[in-house]
Amino acid sequence: MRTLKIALAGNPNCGKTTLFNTLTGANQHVGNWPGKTIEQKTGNFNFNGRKIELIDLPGTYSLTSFSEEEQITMDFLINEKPDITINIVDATNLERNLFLTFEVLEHISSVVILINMDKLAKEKGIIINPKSIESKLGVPVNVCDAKNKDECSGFMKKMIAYSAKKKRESNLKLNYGDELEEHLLKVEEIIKNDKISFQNYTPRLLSVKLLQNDKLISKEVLNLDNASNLKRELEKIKRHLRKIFGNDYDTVMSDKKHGLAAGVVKESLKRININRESRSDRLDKVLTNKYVGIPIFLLIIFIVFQMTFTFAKPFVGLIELCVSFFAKITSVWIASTQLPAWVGSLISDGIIGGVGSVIVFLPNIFIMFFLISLLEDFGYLARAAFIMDELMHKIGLHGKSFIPLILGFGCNVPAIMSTRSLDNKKDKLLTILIIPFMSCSARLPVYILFVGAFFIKYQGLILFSLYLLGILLAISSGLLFKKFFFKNETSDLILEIPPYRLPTLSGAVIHTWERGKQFIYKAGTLILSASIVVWFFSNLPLGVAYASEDSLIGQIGKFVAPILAPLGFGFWQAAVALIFGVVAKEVVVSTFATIYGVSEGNLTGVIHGMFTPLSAYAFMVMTLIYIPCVATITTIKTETGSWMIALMLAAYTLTLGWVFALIIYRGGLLLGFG
Amino acid sequence: MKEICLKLSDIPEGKKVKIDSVVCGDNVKHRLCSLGVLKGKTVEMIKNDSSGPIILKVLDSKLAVGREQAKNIFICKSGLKK
Repeated sequence: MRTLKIALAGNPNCGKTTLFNTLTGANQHVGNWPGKTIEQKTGNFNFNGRKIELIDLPGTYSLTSFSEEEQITMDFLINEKPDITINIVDATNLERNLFLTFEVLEHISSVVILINMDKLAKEKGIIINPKSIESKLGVPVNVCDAKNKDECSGFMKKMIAYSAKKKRESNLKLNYGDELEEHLLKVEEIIKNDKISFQNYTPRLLSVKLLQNDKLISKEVLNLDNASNLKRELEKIKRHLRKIFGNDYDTVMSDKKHGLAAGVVKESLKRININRESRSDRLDKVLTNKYVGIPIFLLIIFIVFQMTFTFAKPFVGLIELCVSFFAKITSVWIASTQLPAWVGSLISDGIIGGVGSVIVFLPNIFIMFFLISLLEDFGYLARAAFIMDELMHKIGLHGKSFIPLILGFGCNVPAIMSTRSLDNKKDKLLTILIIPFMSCSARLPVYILFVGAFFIKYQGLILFSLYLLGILLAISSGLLFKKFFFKNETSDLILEIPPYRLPTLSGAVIHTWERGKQFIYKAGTLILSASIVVWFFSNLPLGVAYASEDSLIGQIGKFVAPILAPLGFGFWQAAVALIFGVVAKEVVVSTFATIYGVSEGNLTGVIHGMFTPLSAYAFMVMTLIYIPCVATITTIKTETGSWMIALMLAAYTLTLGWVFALIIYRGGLLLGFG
Repeated sequence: MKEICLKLSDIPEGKKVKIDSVVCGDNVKHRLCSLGVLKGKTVEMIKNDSSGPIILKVLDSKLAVGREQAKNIFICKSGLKK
């Protein structure tokens, strides 16, 4: 039997991804929508012998081409024609969710409604009658808890039965009232007569889109060769509508859909004891409070870092043991073969030393992503965006830009990509320019190595100070850029504050694994290659002592080292580590390891001999600030379309890093921390 | 008689008001519209400190709106309810 193509559509925070995870489990593939930076999730699995392809569409509030998410969803529904589209509806927010439902029903047929979070709604005193909704909308309506596996499989069974018996029928035709219908009909006639066709849109839907002033569709349709007649007529109609409905004439049809949604709610939803203040409201009084909101935010981030260390410790120890055990058996194995000695050195010093020194930080990275994902699922990140809005406004951005900045803690590359969700170009550019100051997880291995070596007692605090310094630099650089490049431009926040929800373990685990996988991939490719290059540079020219001052790497290092001398780490090994760290910041650690031919455990001893606590801190600050990694620089180029911007930023950060490391080292000496 | 209009940003916490007009660019207008903030709809002010963004209750959800944008959403006298 043919594969059944099922799409999931719904508002953000309606439980779409939860349902997707419940249905697909581990059988999911995460990629990007072609040509877009928005994540595309698909899952292929068998259900009762039937092959199913499930597509998780981006969360949207409506279907227009005003945002990339909506564009993708609309395109997919119209052109890919899924066999069934599941529209997930949040029972606790029925009316708003039904607005999208009407939009979906207007676009396509074969829609099934799934009401999620019905239990939660009942707790809030909201009683929904699904049969009544079904009779109003004319499509199947099911109540199902997206977290509950049994309920979801029951729902799937119904869907498959539904797909077998139901023939495709035409999509819902809404009545927009005499005044609008007259013009819609007129436009529809012209479209038919002039044989104008656009993708798979029906003439009716196209005329609705044109009267709504849908940005992209209007542009493309009116540029068609046979659209001159349509264009003229449309101008006339719009002038007329403006006279009747005022400047908001293009939202009149949306208003109609809001009205229909309200009508359904009125007939199908009952409220009891509505005046009770919810737990969510009480929590918000504290977390979004004007005075304590920001301190609480800082405290939460601090706790995240402290936990990153504490929980990871036993696992790090375990991985260290494994790496050193692996190194030992490899060297025994190589000794037993006829391979030349240099191969042994390449494998044990270069590869195992280099990659091993980075891979030990895997637990820290997993735990940090896990905790951030819990915060996100709980609904805290939206609050963080809210409380930071005022501060962000001072640098000409709004709170929504704060979310890419937080994502920057994970990795700057996806953070920069996520700026595409920002509404205007200036917001996007300014946010991109300050993201590299957020301490990504690649910088974490460097911090952990040095903090572990010098600041055991205050590890959480020192780590926190570095992240905080990054945030402060991002803000002050933002101010600077605003002052010189983006005068008098402001933009504003519009963000849904979702109710707090208990995060699910499986959701957080899946999310963490996705991110962690990227780190493992990086260790296996970029860091592996860099380690091999460092090893070769350490052995050239031929005959030189491994990683000595006379080797190629030593000479490069010695050339650069004097520049770093005022910062307290003017030895060639540090210079080399920083140079190769531009490839990926973890390489700072693996380079030390490769040069010294040691794995992480002994590395602590080696750096103890080279750094003082003060110069170690200055070195960490340098690692934080100086030049974004190659991947980040190229992403900045792709997203801004300008090498100039990317390279200017590299120069700016390099200078800033040097100056800050200098201030910290020299200042520390003056204060007697030497 | 000319009607007196207020900005949404001047509405105190706890008050429910009916929106009279939303003045902004197409992108923002459509976003607000799909979230239920448009002419003729009633919203409740949940949080309004003297500075920073506001939080509205729109239908059953909460929506954060930047102060500058809130200054461009108008409520006229007839839309002021208890």
